[in-house]
Amino acid sequence: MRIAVLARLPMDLTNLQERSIAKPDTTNTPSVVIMHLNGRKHILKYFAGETLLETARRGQLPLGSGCERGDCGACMVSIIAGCVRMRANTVLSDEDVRSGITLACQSIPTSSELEIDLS
Amino acid sequence: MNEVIRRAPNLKWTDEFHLSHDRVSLEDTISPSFFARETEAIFQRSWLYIGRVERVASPGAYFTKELESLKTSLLVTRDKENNLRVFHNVCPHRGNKLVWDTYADRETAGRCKRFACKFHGIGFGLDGDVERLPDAIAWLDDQARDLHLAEVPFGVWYGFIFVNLTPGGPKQSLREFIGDEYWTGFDNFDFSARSENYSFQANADANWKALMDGFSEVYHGATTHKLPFAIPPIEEMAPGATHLVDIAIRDHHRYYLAARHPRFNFDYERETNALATGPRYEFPEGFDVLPRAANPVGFPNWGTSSHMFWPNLYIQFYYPGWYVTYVMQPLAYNKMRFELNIYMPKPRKFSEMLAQKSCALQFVEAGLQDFSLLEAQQLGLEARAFENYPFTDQEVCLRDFHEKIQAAVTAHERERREAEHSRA
Repeated sequence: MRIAVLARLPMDLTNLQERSIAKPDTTNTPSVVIMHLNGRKHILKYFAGETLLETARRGQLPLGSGCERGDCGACMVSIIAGCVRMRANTVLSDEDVRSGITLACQSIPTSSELEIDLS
Repeated sequence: MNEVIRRAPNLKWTDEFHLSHDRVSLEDTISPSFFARETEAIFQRSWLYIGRVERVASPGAYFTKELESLKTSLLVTRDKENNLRVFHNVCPHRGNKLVWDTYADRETAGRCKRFACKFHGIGFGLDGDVERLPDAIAWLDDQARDLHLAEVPFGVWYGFIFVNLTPGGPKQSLREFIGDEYWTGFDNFDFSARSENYSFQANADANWKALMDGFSEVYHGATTHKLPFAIPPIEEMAPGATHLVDIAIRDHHRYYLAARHPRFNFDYERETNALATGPRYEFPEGFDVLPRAANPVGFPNWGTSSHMFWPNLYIQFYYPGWYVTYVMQPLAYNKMRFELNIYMPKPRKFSEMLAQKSCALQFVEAGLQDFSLLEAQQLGLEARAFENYPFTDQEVCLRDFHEKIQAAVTAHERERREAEHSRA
């Protein structure tokens, strides 16, 4: 039954090819991200273009999240070492950002090494 | 408020509380129409326990609470001024559920700076006011200014958060509901210091009252919990050895005290001693003191005391100095969620942590033994082979509970009819 359903699906691959994703800039991309949680250190492989929330999820670390648009702060984490770029942020103050807090759902690493605290 | 009644020698508890000896109908446990009636009469109109304050210890911490039978989701948080807040977990713009993760019908918890609706991105501060309003120019008149999360009446007693969803507002204060006996009855017991929390939930195809009943007496322990606790057959024990030592009915709440049984207790002291890694367990200073209401008769061989708060909360104290809460959350006439939380002092060393975990696991295991009978009981009751059931004197708390459930539903329906009559 499932095969029959699949066969009826439109398989227009041209459209897919047209929407090919631009290759992420990997100049300052870490190969791993170190995440601290409840006193334990987790070293997770990092794939270019991922947000820190996506990396944590892939590593099955229980990092909270909310709107995932940078509006609520439910995924706040602290940077111990390294730099990130936030794609959007309407909730953290300049002071928060200066103190090292960032939104995991919006953060892309911009340094070759990155260490953050999830707790 | 009833006085605490102590049993006279040679008298049955049932007689002490002036309850009848009649068999009890359990139609309230198997009737879909009664479920709808008790939801409206009891759950819609009572103070309901939703969680401990430690879950929202600092500004920005939050948790959601689902009350499925009331079709209500609550958002509990602490604002920037450190005030506890309870809101309906609903965006006032288009009615979208505000805070949830992945599955809209499941509870969640975390910490944030603002609650952002997933629909149009409106952001609400921790105090419920609008903080972020995308596309502000499109709003009509002053309607955006009036947007605020809907507050829910709540109260806190010893760190237990209660809400009241009575239409038009609560008809009695939380203090009146808890009663004088209990309002100060747990003084000298620092609930917040028992901050090591083991949490467990399970759903069953059974009515919520079936598990309320299950925990309302203890003599089932000799059968249900025979293993793994190696409890001897009841015939080999002294007469009444498994009976409750003291019982009190306090308005709509109930309490019982059970003696310490050498085999059936949950001493993590014993666990610690069994582990080669640590010395004999010693109480943290001040943790060996029981609150007055947990042992009001000063019974020396105190084992546990269980406090049943109307309608669906149990607070149970255990030796040495820890406590448990049970909430029987109604989902449908034959469906419920069992919410078990164990609260212990913070372990001071690794051996204590191991002992606590072992103790908590045994406790959950025993809870599951009770829980596993529920669906069989629901099926048995729904067969309607009997119209009513002969509760023993040890089941006096169940008898009182079912009587009060029925009385609350009848009283509410009478009030409603009278109100409709006077309007007509």
